[in-house]
Amino acid sequence: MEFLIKLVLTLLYPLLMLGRSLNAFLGRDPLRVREPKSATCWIERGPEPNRTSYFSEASAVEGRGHGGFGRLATVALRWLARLLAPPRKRAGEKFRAAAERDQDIPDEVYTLW
Amino acid sequence: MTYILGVSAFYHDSAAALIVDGVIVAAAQEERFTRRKHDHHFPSNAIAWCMREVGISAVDLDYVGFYDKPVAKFERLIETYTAFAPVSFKSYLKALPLWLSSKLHLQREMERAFGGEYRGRFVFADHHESHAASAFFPSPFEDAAILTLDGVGEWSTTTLGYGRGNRLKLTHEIRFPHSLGLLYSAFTYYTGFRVNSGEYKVMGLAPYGEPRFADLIRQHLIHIRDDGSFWMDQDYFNYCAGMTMTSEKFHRLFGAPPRDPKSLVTQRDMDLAASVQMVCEEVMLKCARQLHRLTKSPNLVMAGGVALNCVGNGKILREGPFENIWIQPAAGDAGGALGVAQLIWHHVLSMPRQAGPGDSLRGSLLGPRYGDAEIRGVLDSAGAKYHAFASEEDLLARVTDLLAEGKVIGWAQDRMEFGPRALGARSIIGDPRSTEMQQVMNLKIKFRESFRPFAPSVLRERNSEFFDMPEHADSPYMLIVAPVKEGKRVAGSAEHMQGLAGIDKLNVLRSIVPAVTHVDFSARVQTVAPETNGRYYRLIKEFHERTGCPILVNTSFNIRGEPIVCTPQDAFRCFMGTHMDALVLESTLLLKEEQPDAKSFDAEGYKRSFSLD
Repeated sequence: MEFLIKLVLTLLYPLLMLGRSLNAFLGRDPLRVREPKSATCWIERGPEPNRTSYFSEASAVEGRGHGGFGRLATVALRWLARLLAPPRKRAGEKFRAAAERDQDIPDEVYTLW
Repeated sequence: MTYILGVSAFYHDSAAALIVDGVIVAAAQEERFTRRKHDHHFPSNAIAWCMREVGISAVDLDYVGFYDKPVAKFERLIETYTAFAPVSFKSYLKALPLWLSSKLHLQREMERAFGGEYRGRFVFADHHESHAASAFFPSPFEDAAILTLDGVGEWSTTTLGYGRGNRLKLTHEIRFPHSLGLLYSAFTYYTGFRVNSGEYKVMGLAPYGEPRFADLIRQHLIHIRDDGSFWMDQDYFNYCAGMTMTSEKFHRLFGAPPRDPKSLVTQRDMDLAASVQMVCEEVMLKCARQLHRLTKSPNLVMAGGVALNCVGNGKILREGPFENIWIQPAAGDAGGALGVAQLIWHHVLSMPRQAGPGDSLRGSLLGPRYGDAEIRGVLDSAGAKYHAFASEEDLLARVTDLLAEGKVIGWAQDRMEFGPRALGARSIIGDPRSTEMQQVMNLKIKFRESFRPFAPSVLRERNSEFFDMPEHADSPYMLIVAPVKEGKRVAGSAEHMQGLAGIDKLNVLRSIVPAVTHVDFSARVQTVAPETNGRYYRLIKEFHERTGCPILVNTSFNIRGEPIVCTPQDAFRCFMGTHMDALVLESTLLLKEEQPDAKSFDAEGYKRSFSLD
């Protein structure tokens, strides 16, 4: 199964390449890799989250307006994730997360994911 | 009754916190139960304990909150891989299977973890909003400016905000990959320490060095604006798309590859530590000043991993514009569990908040407590010899005798601390006047690097006699570093140290409390008050009356790589596996010399059971 997932991910990776090209073509820099010319690097956050937004796993505030084209791949990958939803727990079964991190992933990198 | 459970998990320092009708009743980190430092797994043990503490099960919970927004984090991850394509391919292929199979199904995963028993709704808060809530809501202030700084949450790495009453709002942010926490972690990695736990070592190492690389850092790695905002040149880092923190360009800039963790720490490593610490303090102070300009509040609250940088906190207290500062003791990700629970109470349910006069964390003693009967049952089954004290007065007198004789004592009583610092509930304590104490504790008890300093626990009313802090300032959670007062320093010691390099400075007698005075005459102060630390306060008071010294050395009750002890079993094992002289478990005293198995105990096996951090 893992091999299959990685194969599909490999096939989807060109979407990221496309996103990067679109970002470059339209001069978008969602991560501010190029230094801003402005006197400040502070970004104003959006409005305070409303009550409903607390029940969503998506954020109304975080990353708002970044304008990157990575979202093309994000949509495709979230669709793919729906096919891989973990099964509901059976009675008496001890909980284990549906997937565990690879042992060779260093802590410093894992915590960014 | 409204039961709200907050959860932080899947990154590092997983934790659970339970609030009942808005009152914080229990909070604990998963590592304390599983004995795996910084455990990132779902905190099943911590949750089970929190619910047991108030006698409920998952069906009774009204809300469960998670401390960040997984979809927003996933979007940031994909934008990062997009920005760094095709170099990001390897990292993408390692990270994504975990996301697709588990992290993007967080609600389902949590339903599974609760065995289908929890029927309420799940709440998700922004990572930095959880930090901000953990800092503002339990603070003693009706209104406060809020500063959060860490590695990264979803997108934000640093935020400014303001809280009043039962509301808080974050107004400004700096986004990934520009992160003060990650800059510090990059140097932690580069100087050969483990990221997410070695940052404390870098901070402790800094006073041995000269900040000769600070300008290089400012010129190349991080460009700091006057308003505290900053931009980081990603050519020098590799964390966005690779499997390391720093890039080849970083190594060329500083003229060497990262230090091998097994090699000796050199003067150059100390200079690197001093340099990044200086830059970190500069950014923290500028952020605080900018926040004050924006909010005009006299009060500041802080959280996020960088808020554990107590040297930087001390600088803000002494040189910054705020009159009062309060820092969440579980400032790292563990505290996010508490933050999201309080957000649900105040923001989702719109419940009012009553501030002050003190904070609502009760000394951060929010974990499990064990009674004398249970403790003695454990000791009996281990074949231990012990003295049971009927009166606290007699116990404290005996412990004071031992401390005054220079003995090192394991001290476990009351509820376990929530957060990374031991505050007198799970501590190893000693006499700070001893010239050998630092070396003995580091090498024979903690089995850790000799350069690492120890913290003083001082009677709150005696704090300003010894440490240079504003008269009204308090440091109950050991999160402020302050200079030892001139009058307590040994005359001529500063001049003596000027001719010495690095670790050699440790050999100079620096003050009348040498075990808690770092080589730059600083100390990481814990002020101890009777309201929150009753028995520990009375012990220090007894020690003060006997010796004239109102201070004890306080270090966490564990060895290198081990989570702080939780249960009597953990404490007894640590006592037997080290050269500690005595152990106090509530009203029970054990002396090492009386233990029948003291010589045959497999101390080496005990040490080996924890991987070095």
